[in-house]
Amino acid sequence: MRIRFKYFLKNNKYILNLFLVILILFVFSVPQIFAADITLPEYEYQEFKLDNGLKIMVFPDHEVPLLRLSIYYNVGSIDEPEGKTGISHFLEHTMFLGTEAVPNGKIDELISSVGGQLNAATTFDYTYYYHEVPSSMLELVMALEADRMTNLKFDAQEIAREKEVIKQERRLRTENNIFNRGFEEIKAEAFENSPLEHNVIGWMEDIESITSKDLDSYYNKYYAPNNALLVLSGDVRAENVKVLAEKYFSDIEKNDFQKNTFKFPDQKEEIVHKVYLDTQIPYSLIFYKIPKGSDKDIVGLEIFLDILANQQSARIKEKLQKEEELIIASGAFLYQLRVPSFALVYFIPSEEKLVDDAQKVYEEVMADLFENGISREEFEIVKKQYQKSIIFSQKNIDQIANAAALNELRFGDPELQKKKISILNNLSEEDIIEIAEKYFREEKRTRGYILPKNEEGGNK
Amino acid sequence: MIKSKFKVLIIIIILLITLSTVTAAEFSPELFSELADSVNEIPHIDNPDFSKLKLDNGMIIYLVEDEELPLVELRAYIEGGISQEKKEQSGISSLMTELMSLGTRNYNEKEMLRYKELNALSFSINSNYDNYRISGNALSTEKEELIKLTAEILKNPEFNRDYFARTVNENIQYYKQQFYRDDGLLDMHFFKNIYGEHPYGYQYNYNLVLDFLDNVSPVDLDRFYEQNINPDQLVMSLSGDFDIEEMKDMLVDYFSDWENDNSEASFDYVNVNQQNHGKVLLVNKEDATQAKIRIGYNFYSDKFPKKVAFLMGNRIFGSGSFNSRLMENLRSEKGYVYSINSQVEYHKYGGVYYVNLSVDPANSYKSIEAVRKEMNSIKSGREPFTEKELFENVNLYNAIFPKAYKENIDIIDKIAYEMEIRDNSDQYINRFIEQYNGLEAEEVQKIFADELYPEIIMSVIVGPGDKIAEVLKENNVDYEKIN
Repeated sequence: MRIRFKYFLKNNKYILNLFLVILILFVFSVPQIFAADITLPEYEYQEFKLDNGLKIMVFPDHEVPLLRLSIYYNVGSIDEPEGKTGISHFLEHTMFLGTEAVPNGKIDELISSVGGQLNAATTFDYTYYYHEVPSSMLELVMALEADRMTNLKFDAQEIAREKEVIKQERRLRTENNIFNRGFEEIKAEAFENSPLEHNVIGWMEDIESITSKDLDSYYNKYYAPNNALLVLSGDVRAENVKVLAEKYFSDIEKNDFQKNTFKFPDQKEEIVHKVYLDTQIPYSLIFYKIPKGSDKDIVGLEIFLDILANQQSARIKEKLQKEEELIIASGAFLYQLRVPSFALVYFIPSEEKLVDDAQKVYEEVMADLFENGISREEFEIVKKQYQKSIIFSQKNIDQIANAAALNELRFGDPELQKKKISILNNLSEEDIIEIAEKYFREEKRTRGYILPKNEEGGNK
Repeated sequence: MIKSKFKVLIIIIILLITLSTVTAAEFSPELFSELADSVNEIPHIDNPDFSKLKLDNGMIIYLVEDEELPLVELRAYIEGGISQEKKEQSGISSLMTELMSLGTRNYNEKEMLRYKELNALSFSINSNYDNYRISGNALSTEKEELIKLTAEILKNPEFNRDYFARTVNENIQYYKQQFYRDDGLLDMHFFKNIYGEHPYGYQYNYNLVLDFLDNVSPVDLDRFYEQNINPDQLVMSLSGDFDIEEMKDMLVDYFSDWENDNSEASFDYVNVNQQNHGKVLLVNKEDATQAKIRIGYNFYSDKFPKKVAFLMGNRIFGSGSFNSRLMENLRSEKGYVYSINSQVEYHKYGGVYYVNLSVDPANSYKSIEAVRKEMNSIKSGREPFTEKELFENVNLYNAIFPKAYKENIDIIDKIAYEMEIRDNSDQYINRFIEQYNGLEAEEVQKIFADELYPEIIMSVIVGPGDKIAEVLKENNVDYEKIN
């Protein structure tokens, strides 16, 4: 064999030179990006649990004299009973209406008086409250959260007024936003008869029907220490948190209840739904059902969606936007919930008449990916970006704490990110396609369109 | 032996003291008042050691070494921006910056994108009222690639490429869509009236922008670039894991051959159109289920000397948190709004002051009147600002400033901006902290009340026209309806 190779070199100088030129060009023109395995820096945090089931995590960082207290309740819109959609979010608003010790409006006043800030948010599967205060105010925020975990007032008059605020929030964020309004309606079709049918804000008629009694019983069921996670980050010491947690939270009784679980109803064929709104540009939305956020396939799906729709050179952007000029924007989201979840791929065709063409080319892009796979370069680009974002996240301890807290809250596994990185480091390009093919199937998806209901187009 | 017994005794005492504080808590208003006692220290922001480099072409760079993480971050300003647009060029600044990021003379779109992605480089350039804003970052292993990319984009734009027509078309679709968004309609009708025949307003006049996009050519962009993007207008800040001397050499290598084009910037102040005073514009959006409202008037340029006092007054009035006066009144008491905020914008050639809110159409008149009433109660001195209200805002700023300026890139960017563009000192941040800490409620009240003009506010309401018109008619409000 060796002799033959020598012979080949001797008699094929032209081919050899060409090969060398190509090699040199390759080496000097392509940046060497074959990224090493992704690494996650180790963070020091303490975790402990009270007898009543309250879990506590502490992430110290003494760089600036501020701390953030976050309390997560493991309840969101997926837990809501029929006819009471939006109640988790309504309860979030009610949490600011006061207790006997801290009457309505007083919590804002107390936090403002010490130079702090507070807010809250409700999602599909959890509800979250936070305070950012000077570090000397640890006891104040611990006491405030313990007080409203157990002593919340339900004043019918105040709740009626707050209902008007929530209704206006729905008008603002959902009804008068073209994308959000279409998203709400199409998602309802996609996940009909499942807890994901409605959005977090809830349907207007349900918000209208929610009473103070409903809120009270929802609160008593879900706002219990064994259904909460208290997280402190910033200029704070675990020893102090422990003492104060015992002092303020340990007397609160736990409440055991059965957590809601569900499976998506079996889908045999693709669902197509069109929404007609007052818009110039159309939107195409495709919903796919995926497993819960801790599933081993989630990492592969994330990588696939980045390559398909999110990174600058994503396949959809290259083909539908730059090459065919059919769309003006695109992207994808992966919702990683504690229950079966979903992915959304969207693109914005530049005109209504291009909607079908854009869909056709989208199918071609998917078919090509499934048939020919992703390239090594695409995979490495995503990995390198991932590594960079991990390094950037080190600037912010609150962000690190939030990521670990959500993994603890949803899946009981604060180390999940580490496991996901290990999965990522062991994935091949072929694995990613194999995973994507499992979930991104035509007969299992919902295709939705937001289309112009008028014919005026840009003549307005 | 005695020593160890003594030790045990001490430990028992400490444990007993600790346990006594761990008794169950009794919640009471007194407990919370007692716990909420924090007067935050007046912060001092330490400037990092920085080095300044000025190239022969006038470009200025501030540099800070920061080895905490293996990253390099870049920020820059180029003076000019939207203020330099002519009426027939409405929207040219943002089109130009968008195209600059897509390709250059030496890199087509694919090559540029590949270069950015393979090196994990982030880079953006956007146009603002008075400048272009650049930001970028990279892992420190790719610092040279970041500098090279920045230089390439700034020095060698190429507008006459295949992405030109596509990007123009995408912009046309974007601007057409603004007629269907209540936010878009609100911006258009409010700002084009406030700024009138000034470049600040052109970008919101979507018909003007669409006319421009219908006719624009790559040559127009070349010309605008030559006039507006020059090294002597650029101030850059760099912070991160690099050696300063090595970085300086790199900057010289990549930027020193960039030449200035002789061009004169134009300076026009905004003319206040008194016909806007008291005007009510009702923009019909038949399918809307809310009234989206903005009320306000022209305000000072960024040279307004009482900015700090006005800022604090405005926080108390409506830009602060849940307990600002507007939030207390319109949300917590009346339940009209989900959110309401008052904003002041200062630009080089004129500013604007306004309040944003959105409500049930039936409440549109009542809510505007409620805002006006709040303004009047401050203006007349009936409900002057209290020391407590001022203290809360000062105390908050004192708490959050160290976090806001935790990163060296944020400090050096601010220093560069204040020193080179606004002719201030490198101690600007600390002067600002001193100023708001030196305020008294009476002074803030006087300055804020003097600059509140509830009688001249212009109102723009976007929503279902007939419903809102009915409410306005019932209350004898003169309005102009736009369909």
